[in-house]
Amino acid sequence: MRLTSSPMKLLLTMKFLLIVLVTSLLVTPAVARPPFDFDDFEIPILLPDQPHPPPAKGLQSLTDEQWGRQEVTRILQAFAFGGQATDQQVNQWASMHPGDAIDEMLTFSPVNLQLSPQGRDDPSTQYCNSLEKLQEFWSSDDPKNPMRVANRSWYKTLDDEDEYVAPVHLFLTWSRLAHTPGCNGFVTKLALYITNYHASIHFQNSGSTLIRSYYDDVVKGITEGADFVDLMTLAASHAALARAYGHMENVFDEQGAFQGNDDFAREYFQLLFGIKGVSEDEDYHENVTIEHNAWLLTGMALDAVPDAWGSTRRTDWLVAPLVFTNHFDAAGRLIPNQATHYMGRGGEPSCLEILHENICGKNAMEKLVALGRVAGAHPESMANTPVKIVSFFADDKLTEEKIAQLQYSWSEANFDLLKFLRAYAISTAFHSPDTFKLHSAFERNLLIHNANQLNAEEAYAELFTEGPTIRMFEQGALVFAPIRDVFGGQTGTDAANDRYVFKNAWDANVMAPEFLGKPSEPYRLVANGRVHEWRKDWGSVIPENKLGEHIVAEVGGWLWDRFLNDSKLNYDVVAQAQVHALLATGFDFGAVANENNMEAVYSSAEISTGDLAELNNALAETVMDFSTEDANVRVGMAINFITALPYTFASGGLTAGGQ
Amino acid sequence: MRRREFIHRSLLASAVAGLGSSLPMQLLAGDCPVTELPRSLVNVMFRGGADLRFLFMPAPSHPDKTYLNTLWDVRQVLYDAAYNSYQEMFDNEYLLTTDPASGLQFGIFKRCGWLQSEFDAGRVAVVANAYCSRNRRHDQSILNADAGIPSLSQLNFDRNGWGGRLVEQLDGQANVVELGQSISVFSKGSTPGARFEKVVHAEDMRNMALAGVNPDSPAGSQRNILARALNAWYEARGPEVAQDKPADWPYHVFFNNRDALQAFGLSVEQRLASCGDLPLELQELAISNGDFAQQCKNLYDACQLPDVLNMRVMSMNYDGWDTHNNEYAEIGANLDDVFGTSGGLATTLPLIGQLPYLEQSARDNLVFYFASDFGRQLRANGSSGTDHGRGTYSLLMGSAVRGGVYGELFPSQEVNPGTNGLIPLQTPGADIEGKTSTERILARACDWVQPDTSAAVFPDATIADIETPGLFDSLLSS
Repeated sequence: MRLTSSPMKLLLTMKFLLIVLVTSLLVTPAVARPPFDFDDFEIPILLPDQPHPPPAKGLQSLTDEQWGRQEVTRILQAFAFGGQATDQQVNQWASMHPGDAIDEMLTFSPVNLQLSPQGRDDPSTQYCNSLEKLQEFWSSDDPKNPMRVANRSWYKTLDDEDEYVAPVHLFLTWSRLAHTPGCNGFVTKLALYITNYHASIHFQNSGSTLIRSYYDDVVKGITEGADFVDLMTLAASHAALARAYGHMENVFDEQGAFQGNDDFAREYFQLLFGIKGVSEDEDYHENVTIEHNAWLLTGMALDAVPDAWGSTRRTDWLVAPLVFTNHFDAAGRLIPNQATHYMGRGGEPSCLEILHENICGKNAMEKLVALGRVAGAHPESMANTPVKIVSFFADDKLTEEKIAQLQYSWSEANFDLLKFLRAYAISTAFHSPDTFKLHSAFERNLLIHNANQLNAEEAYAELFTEGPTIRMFEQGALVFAPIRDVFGGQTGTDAANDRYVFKNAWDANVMAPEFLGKPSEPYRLVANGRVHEWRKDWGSVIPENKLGEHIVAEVGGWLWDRFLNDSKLNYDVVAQAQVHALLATGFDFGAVANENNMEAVYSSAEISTGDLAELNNALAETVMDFSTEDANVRVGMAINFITALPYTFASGGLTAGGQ
Repeated sequence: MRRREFIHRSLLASAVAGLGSSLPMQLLAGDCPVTELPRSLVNVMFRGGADLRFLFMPAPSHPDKTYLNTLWDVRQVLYDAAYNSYQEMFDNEYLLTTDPASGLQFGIFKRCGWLQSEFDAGRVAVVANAYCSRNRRHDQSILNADAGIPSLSQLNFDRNGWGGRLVEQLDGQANVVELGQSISVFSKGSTPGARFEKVVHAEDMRNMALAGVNPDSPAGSQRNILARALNAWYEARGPEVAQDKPADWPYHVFFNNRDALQAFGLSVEQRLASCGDLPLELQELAISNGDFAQQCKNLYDACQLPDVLNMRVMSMNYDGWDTHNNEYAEIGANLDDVFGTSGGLATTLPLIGQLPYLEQSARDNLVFYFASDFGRQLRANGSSGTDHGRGTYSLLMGSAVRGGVYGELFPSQEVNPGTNGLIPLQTPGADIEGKTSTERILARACDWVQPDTSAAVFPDATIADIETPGLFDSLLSS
């Protein structure tokens, strides 16, 4: 079957997207705090005063003997949404010393062409470090813009009428960035973590352009070598957080009285640094540390630039960065950030006692810089921060032993995130068989999408509606709209606890198999210009056997590993029979076995013996012809089947299954 | 007969088979069977820390004028600056209400007209000075509330909730039905690795079934091929992994998800189809929180088929109560959605009351408990909001509830110097002093659902704090 997009279908699809996204935003409660639910903190957090023997040592690296292809792909899945590395590159990393390989795999460069060689000649790669620039480029008529014309308007900063900043376009841009050839998926995932999970805010509270600035500034910090404390200070002093939390209005008035709230003053410690105060005297923590931090967070009003981004809506005019002086902004307003800061009227430095230290500076920025180092070094932060980070990326079931190793290595890393994450990525702790990670809808859909995308042309020929944005959204994950607001976005545990996420994923694959299985797509790069056609060619990436053939059994196994990466440990005979049937015939195994009883259920034992075993073997030995579109359609069917199985909703946990 | 129809009927029959001898007759009696909703408890969680002091304010005639003046002084900024006096504010913002037992007059926020009418009808208990946690952190306090253990200090969400514990104590195959978007700790059971065993997730009652084979499409359509392939794999491998893999195998949850959706989805789909569309009032329910509106629709539908769901406990939630800023507008909208005369419950409960029944109306067999992570501070902050506190008000609502005020609604101690010499209402950071553990209240609710269950669900209830001994002796009818 040939699947193409007629103009009518395109129009309907666009309308559908708009309806889905805009409606969802309208029905979201118009409150400062969207949903709260906290099922992501299933990891027992070790506190400094809890009785644990000091760890003898930190994370232990895998040896060369323990290192191989499986370990490489596991790292890519956990840290870079799977990446887009070639089989050859994966094999090369697998043949290297793990410490050398990880230095190439996980980098803080905006572009990593080893991780994604599809981007080698992609002009978009020069903008991987900025959503703002990507929006500008992808929506432009720049002759180098690889985006199909039909998509371009969906990446503009402004809406269709060029009146307001369009959050939907920002969502689409980030999701596309996460599978854009060449752009470093590790940086993208880390920036997602910081802005949507760790120091999280919701676009409804900050505004779309401010949260975009926040994300871009975090990426800039990451790629320019900022350490963890630097990044937290960047977040704490950012205009987007000041607006989202509301402390942009916190001031000391002319009588020297504090006017404001302690919302971010509290969450600064708990969320950014993992300090809940449980090791502190409660009265001191509440009435000195938090109260004084509220006083610190004064003089943080935002500047406005009239007509910013071309928007006619005044709330879009608030801009980053914060300027901590007394000044007039571009709108002519007096912004008395020095005068309204604690003891700031004279412009002299002042000090506040916080966490038993004198935190000094002339303004909020200077004090935040000073406080960051104190907070980062607090015992609760040292204990909790590495656990929180690793729980996000890689392990939902950290053991006490692993936690002790993480805490030790975090201490050794001295807030160097890259050093810490690289050490963890090649550690025995991460690669132990009991490591288990439930996938959020971000992770699951982006892993699938990256595995399914074969080249740069496909990335840009794909209709914007066929990117992962809508599926992630329908499964509870919308970037910059974390489900718990400042407490972060959907976790893997959330996704597993929501049976409707499973249902949506199932329904999507069953009811819209063309989403992952489309074999071709016509598109234009110039309005009314030549029609190009992108064609899927799985034969170009799936290895042939020694005879130059694509045998169903080998193709099926390769697909299983590409999408699930479990070394076929869960590739049971029932799954094999279905994959073989889909690849060999385009039909399910039941239909092939008995067309008069297509819904029959065959157990592993039944498929392993007798006529059914013979049938399965015959299907497995079939040779596929990838010069035909049909073969690519069949691969798409097999991918739809594989990615609706339990093993696509999580990874690892192999010991518990008695593998 | 098509296989799908066969499965529908088989599942329906098996669901009915476990419920005694009378139901099959009823099932055959009409398109939409008449079933009796057993006593059921609905936990409504206000996540974010609701400032319920805002909901209840003293009447201008309050006997302690010092209290009144001080309260007004520290909370005035929450209201329109144009109000010149407490009297003026109260007259415009609150509905004068009288506690039937004490005769105390107080105000209920004006956008909660339905709550006031329920209170006046004697169906709402307001428990003052309650606490469900002893900390001011959202995550920990929500866990405390869901677990029903105020003293719990470990932040581990892989644990049971009091709703899950309650259904484990009930006779028969009782379930918790989660009406919201995600299964909360409240609903989780006690068996590690199988905490969802007695949870039905009903996020959208009218869309519970997995996409299956479409009999109207060709057998060779991609949809039908994939539906058959996946069904065949899950149905073959499900029993095999259940037998071969250990209980803590982490992938069981996804088999369970599929099985639960498949089993309940099909039977719910058929039953609701036989019962017709949602009432127009619910279809057109227009409140600001679309998620809560959906939960109200789910609540109505769930009450139509308690036999299929085997429900005795339900879980709802409403988010967005962290009102550090602009509290008046935010909490006002929330309260309107939940307790307003056109709100979710005001729309839904009368419709539930109209459902056919055998002996007692479904509405009369429902009791609602309204919880939140914590209360908020007594004084308004400088952002026209309130910051995190601890003590709060608990609300219990239903025909079985003996309505009225329990505990001192506006404690006089808040305006008197405490042991530290400070007057709470004038002290930054001071909050409502929690004098009654919610364990005390919830234990009563459990025993109402089924006698003698509270000891297992709330083992510490009998020694937990209570403002006045015997305060809840008549809280609920037996």
